[in-house]
Amino acid sequence: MKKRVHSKLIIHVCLLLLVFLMLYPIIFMLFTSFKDNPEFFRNFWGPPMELHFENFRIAWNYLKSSFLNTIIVCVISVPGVLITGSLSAYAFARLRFPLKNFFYYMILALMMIPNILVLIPSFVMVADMGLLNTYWGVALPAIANGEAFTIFVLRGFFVGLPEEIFEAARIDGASELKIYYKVAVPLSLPIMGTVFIMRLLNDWNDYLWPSLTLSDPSKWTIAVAIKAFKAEFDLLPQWGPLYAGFALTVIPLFIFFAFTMKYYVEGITAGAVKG
Amino acid sequence: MNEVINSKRAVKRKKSPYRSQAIMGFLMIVPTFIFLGVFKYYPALSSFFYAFTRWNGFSDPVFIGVDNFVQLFHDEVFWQSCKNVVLWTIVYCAQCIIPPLFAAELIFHLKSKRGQYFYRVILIIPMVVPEIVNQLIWQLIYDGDIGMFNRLLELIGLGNLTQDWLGNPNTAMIALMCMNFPWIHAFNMLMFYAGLQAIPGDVLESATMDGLGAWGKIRKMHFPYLIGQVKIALVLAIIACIQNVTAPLVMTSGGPGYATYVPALHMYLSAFSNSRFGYACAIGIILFIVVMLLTMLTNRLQSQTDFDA
Repeated sequence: MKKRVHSKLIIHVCLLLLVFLMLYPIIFMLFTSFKDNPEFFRNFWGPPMELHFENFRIAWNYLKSSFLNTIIVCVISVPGVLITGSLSAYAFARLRFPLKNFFYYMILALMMIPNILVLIPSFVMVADMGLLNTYWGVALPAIANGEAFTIFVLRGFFVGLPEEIFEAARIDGASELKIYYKVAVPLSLPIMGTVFIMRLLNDWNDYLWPSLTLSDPSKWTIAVAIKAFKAEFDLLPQWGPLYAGFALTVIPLFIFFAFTMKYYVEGITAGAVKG
Repeated sequence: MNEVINSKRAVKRKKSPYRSQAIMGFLMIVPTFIFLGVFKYYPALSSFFYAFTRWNGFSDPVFIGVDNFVQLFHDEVFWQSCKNVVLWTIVYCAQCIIPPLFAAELIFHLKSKRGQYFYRVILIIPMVVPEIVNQLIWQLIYDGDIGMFNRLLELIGLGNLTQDWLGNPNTAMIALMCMNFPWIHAFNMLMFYAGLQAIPGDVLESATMDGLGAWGKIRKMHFPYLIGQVKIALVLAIIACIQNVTAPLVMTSGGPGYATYVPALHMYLSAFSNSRFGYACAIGIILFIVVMLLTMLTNRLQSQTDFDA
C-alpha cells in the first residue's frame, strides 16, 4: 500500500514537471507582455510588478486588421473543406459508382505528394490566376490541403453507420443528397466538430503559403503579421509590446479551445485516428 | 411478348436506383476533385515537367534535360542540407515517439479519471500557440543577449557556456533540433493514450496475475498494442520533418552560412530568392521520391510485424 502511494506521487511529480516545462514559455510570454523594458531586464523571470496595458494597445493597432483577414480566410476554407470533403466521404462510404476505387486511390495518393512539391507550381498558378493578395488565393488552396484528411476521417465514420438507417430512408423515397444532409450529417456532427477544429488550427496557423501570396500588409493573416511585427523591433527592441503581440495571437484560439477542447480530446481518444 | 417487355421494364426499374446512385456519386465527388485537380494533381504533375527546364517562374521555361539534376548532384549546399535533414529526422522521430509515449504512460497509470483528464487537457494547451509564434519565442529563448536559456545557464553557474545559440554554426543545428523541449507532441500523446485505453482489460489483468512489474507490463503488454499508433506517428514525423521549411526559414534562414540548411529550405530559397524555379522543382522531385520510398518502407515494416504477431 505504501509503495502504491509512493509511485503515485512519483507520477504526479513527473507530470507536473512536464506541465511546467511545457507551459513556462507561455507563462513567460504573459508575464513579459505587461512589462516595460527596464522591468524586463530588472525582473526577467518573475511576474510583472506594474501592468503596462499600453503594450497591448501598440500590438493591437499593428495586428488588428490581420485578425479580420485570418477570420475571413478561415470562414471560406474550413466550411469549404468540410462541405466538399463530407460529400465525397459520403459517396465513397455509401454509394456505388464506377471507378470508385480508382478515385479513392487518387485521394490516398495525396498522402504521397508532399506539399513542398506543389508549392512552387501552385504559387505560379495562383499568380497567373491573379489571386495574389486576395483571400481566395489563400483559402482555396487551403481547401485542397484539407481534403485528404477530412475524407479519410469522415469516410471511416460513415462506413461504420448501420446500413438499415440508409435503407429505410431510401425506401421512403429520399434522394441521396437528402439522405446525406438529413441522415449522415446530423449523425456525424461530433466527428465533424473534431475535423473542424483540426482544419481551423491548421489554416489559422499556416505561415508559409500566406507569406508567399500576401505581400500587401493590409491583407496579411496573423501568422504573417506577427512575423513582421517582430521584425519591427529588430533594431530597437521593446519586449513588452512584442510579447503582447504574441499573447494577442494566442487569445482567439485559446477562447475557441476552451469551448471545444473536449471534442478534440475525445475525438482523438475515441478513435477518430485508429492505429 | 408482354412478358419480355415486362421483364425489360423490371430490369430497368431495378437498374435505375443504381444508375441514379452512380450519377449522384460522381456529382458528390466532383467539387473535391476540382479543388484537388487545380491545386494538387496539376501542380504536382507540372513540377515533373519544370524540373527539366530552366525557368525563372515568369518567362517561358526552357527545356534543358537532366541538367538540373546533374547540377544538384554537384551542389555542395544540397549535400550539406541532406546531412542536416537526415540527422534532424532521426532526432525528430525520437522526439515524436518517446516523450509523448512517456507522458501517455504516466497519465494512463493514474488511477483517477479526473486526474487523467486534467493532465491530458493541460498538456495540449500549448497547441493554441500558433506555430510561427512558437518559433519566434524559441528564437528569443536562444538569443545571445536576452535569451532565457543563457539566463538559466547563468543562474545555475554555467555562465561561461552562454552564447548566441542560433548564431554559432556549431550550435545552431542542435539548437533547432532541441526546440520545443520537452517535446510532448500533443496529438501523438493523445493518440498513444487512446491506444493504451483500447487494450482489453482482461489482457492487462492477466499481466498483473502473471506477476509482471510495471516495466514488464509496459514492454510486454502495451508496446505490441501500440505498434499501429507508433507507425502512424513515425510516418507523419518523417513526412513533416522532410518538408519542414518554416522552422529553419523563420529562425535562421539556413544560416549561419549553410549550417541549418535543409533540402526543403534549399528548394524554397532557390525559387523565391534566386528565381531558379526549375532547379527548385528538381529538388522537390527528389524530396517526393524520398518521402514516397520512406512511406512505403514503413508500411512494409508494419505488415511484416503484423505477420510475425
